[in-house]
Amino acid sequence: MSTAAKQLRFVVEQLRVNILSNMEYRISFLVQMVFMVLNDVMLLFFWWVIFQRFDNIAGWGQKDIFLLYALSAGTYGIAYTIFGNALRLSSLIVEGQLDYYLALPKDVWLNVLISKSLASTIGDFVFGVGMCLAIFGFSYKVLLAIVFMMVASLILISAATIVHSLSFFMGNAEQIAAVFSESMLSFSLYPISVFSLSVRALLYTAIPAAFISFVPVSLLQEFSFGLFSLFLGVAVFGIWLSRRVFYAGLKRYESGNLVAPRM
Amino acid sequence: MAAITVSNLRKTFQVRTAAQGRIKGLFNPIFTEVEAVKGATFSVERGEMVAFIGPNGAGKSTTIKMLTGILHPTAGEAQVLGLTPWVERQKLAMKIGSVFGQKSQLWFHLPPKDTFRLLSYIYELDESVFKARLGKLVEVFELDELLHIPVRKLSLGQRMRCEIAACLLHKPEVLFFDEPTIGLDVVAKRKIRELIASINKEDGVTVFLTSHDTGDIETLCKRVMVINHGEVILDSSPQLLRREFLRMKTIGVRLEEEIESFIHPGVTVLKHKGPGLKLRVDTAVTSVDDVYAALRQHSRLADIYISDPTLDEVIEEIYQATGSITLGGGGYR
Repeated sequence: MSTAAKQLRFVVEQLRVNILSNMEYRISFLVQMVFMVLNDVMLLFFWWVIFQRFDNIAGWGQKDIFLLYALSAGTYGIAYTIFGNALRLSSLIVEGQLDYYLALPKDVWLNVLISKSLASTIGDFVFGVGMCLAIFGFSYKVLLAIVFMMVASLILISAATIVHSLSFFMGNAEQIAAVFSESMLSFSLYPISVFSLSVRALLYTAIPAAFISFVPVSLLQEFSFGLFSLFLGVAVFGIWLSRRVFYAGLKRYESGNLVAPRM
Repeated sequence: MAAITVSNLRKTFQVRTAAQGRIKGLFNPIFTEVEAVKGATFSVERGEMVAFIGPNGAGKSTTIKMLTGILHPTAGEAQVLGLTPWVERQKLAMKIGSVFGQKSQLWFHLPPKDTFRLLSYIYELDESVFKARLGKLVEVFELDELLHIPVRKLSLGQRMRCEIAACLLHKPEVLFFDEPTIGLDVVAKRKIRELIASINKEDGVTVFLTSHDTGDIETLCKRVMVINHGEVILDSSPQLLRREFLRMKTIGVRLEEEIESFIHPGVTVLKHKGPGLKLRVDTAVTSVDDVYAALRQHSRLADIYISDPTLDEVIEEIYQATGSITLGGGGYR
């Protein structure tokens, strides 16, 4: 079996274990998923109310906004179902909980990130795909949307990992990472045309929220190889940069003596 | 042939000085270097079972973490099975196993079988190899009934048996145990010790063990290294350690009648209150049996206990004997 196949087998098995671990408390697991779907639906309800009074907002109609939400939710769903530890990486660094991963013969960056799945984010993914089906019907565009969600989730995870990895250098970047995650989420839920040019520049670089929703929506509305290449390129560069920052920081890792089980 | 060689291994941590005011320290922090391990040098032969002991803060865990590739050293060299741990971490991890008594590698909410299966993917074991290996471990560690119970419902001793089995799935050549019997009762401790001894005897696995329990060291190891700040200050056998430093026994008795005083060669009265006596006995001067007989001459005994000195007391004595005076609690990790 090739190295890539072994790696894939490991990722799939890890995902299975994560989901099994969540499902140990079945009712809590189901409630979290259902409430996340309801939460997403409620947010759309507010937009629906607004669109009862206005035809469009900065050129974006109701269907465009709904698609924006679908892609954002789907991206967050994939990202934190597969790479659930990305949200608590700084705590793991500060509390010295990377020891377990460092003692195993696997890539630490990958192993840490995939070692947890958030049950609620599965609800996000279900909502995202459901909305795409509602918008496009049983069209190839639903599959395309899922592919875009996957690419965008890599960009999201890369950006989050870079910010969380600051904990290696400055001690505790938990709050900074939390603010960054909030910013990414907030900016990805609004049409980019409502922002000024300087903010838009920011959304393509330091807080790459444009790649989470706006770029995939544009590609679904009108596919362009140029934009798709840029989209893919950013994902590949993001992963590369995230790994570089993480591994540079790992040399400064100080471990710790916290007594903690694997959840 | 050496399984582990360590030469002048050092690890320092930077800590902000506590003496500095909090506001002042916020803008102009002063850092001091704490030397957790200063120049550790030793080697361990293949198949050896070595105890690495010292009080809290002596640098035991930090040394193990450097030898398993978890921490990068500040300076110095180390080779485990011919590999530099922090450079060839993944390659080394395939050949070694580690159990940290205070950190679990088992998934808390899942039965051990799920962690075992996940580990088989991590160590890239073929299905048939995994099944055969797990079958053997289940038999030796008596895990049959535990395999399907969520880890959170296992007792500490049962969990530790599963932890050790988990680190043996890939047939490691060197095992690092950091306090494997911490918090266990007497029966569970004995079981864990038997298992570690059998791994060493049957598979020739090199065992590097840290423990605060003299029982672990005496039962398992033929060699003991006592360290202070990662520096080896005594490299000896447990027999010598016992003869030199574990010869003191503490005897507590409750007599049926009160006595005025108790005088016996080699015995120091630590406490005397009513019919109760706490004695320190130097077994190089007198035997426990002689002390018992001497006590019986005064009165019948209502109750008696005999205990070994704690490891910290032994280490304190070693430190005093070797002129090293820095005792536990001062370390960083």
